[in-house]
Amino acid sequence: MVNSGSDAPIVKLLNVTYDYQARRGIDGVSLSINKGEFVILIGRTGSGKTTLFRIMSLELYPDSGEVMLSELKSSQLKRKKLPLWRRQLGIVFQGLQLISNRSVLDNIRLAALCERRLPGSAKARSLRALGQVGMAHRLHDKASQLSTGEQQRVAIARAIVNEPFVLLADEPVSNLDGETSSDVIDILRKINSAGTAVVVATHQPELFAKCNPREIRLDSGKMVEV
Amino acid sequence: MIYFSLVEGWRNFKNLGIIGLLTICSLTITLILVGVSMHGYIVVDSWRKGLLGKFEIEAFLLPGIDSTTVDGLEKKISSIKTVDIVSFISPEQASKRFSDQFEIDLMDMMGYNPLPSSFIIKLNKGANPADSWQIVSDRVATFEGIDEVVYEGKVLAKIEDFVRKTGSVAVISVGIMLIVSLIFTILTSIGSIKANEDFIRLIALSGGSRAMAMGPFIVMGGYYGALAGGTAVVVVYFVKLLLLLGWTGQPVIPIIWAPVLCGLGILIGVMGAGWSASRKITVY
Repeated sequence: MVNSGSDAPIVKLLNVTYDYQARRGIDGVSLSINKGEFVILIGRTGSGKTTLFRIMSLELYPDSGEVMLSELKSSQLKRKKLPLWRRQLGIVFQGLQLISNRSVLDNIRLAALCERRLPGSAKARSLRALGQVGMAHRLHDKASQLSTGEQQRVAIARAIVNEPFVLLADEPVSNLDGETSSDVIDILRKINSAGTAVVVATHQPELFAKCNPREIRLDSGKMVEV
Repeated sequence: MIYFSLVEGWRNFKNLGIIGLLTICSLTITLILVGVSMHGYIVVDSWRKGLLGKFEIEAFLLPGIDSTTVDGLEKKISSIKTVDIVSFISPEQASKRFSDQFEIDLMDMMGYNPLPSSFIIKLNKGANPADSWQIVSDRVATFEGIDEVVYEGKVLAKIEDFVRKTGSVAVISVGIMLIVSLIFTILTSIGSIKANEDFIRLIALSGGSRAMAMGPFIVMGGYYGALAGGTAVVVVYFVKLLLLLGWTGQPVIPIIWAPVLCGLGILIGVMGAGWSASRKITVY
């Protein structure tokens, strides 16, 4: 049975279009993601998965259409309120983008410092997030000293440290072996079962079968719901 | 957020490369130039005022003038705004001054005293000689009973000209160096921002404010300025010690110049880095 979360949509895209200079990135995509839902975005390289994530985080603004996150609307959002939007999202970047010469704890704490309204110090929250992904024993190691799987876990810890409503994970298992992939997927499943909506971009949908995800297929920027 | 900016700014500052060193060097040279000019201006101005105190206007009286007219003239000259002291010199006193100055007794040499009565006029130290001396001299020359007015106009003009030219050269040099330092600061900050794109993106996408993303780079500029300012203060202090060594009548230079110099350094650093950050941090 598909994990469709509650009925309340947390993210909504209405007829969103985005053009790169030479080609169309996203073409009239409309979708909604409910609270606590597990969604996978499937598509080949260049199908628009990463672009869609960048639009959801308003790193890119849609050329037309509307993105809604909780009560906020992209078209009405003032620049000053952009951090407020982004604090509701946790992002695991495709390239992870850990700061390699800093410790694991520092990497998480940087993100934790961005949200000051949560209870507990940034350090305490970082340690808790590291505990959730099973990396508390490596907190003083430099990010560059970790294996790819460990870096992936740290990237997930960084994304959840501010307790987002939605976690966006871009190809979180694409460079991992079978066992490590399974560990990472388990972590994502636990995060989801705690109430966070998880959206994963992947070209290996079969690996996420145990999460009972709703699948959304993208092809050349257009959406095909499965 | 201030603590965050200070810590992260320090991290960026520690990673300074060649261009960072060039920035600090250019900023230091600029501030040394500013400090030396500041001191130079005070010293030259003090020297100028001291020198002007020794200059005087001499107004010779017509022969046979009576004492009532002399008194009237003295009052009229004293009433001129920029005039400080007016002293009447009788022919006998003039002869004595002449013999004191040149060691020649005119009575012995010529058999009579050819020197007329005169007024020695000194102006206020603050008076601008280029204008005041000429104006006072011309005005006194129009008074009835005055035969001729003389003063060292050419020497005064040369002093003024020297002070003005030196001041202009200092202002232009400081201006050029300020622009160069600002450019270096901007280039360093842009380099640092490019090297930290991951850091900026992380802050931005984790919900950090724009100020939070910009803060470390602005503070880094401040650190550059503070280091350059501190170095410049030490250098200027030693230059001052060397130049004024053994000068007993040296002017008092208020100690405020040191924090002013440091503050100027920090201001340039913060301005350069702030401008770069506001232009180059584009994930907002």
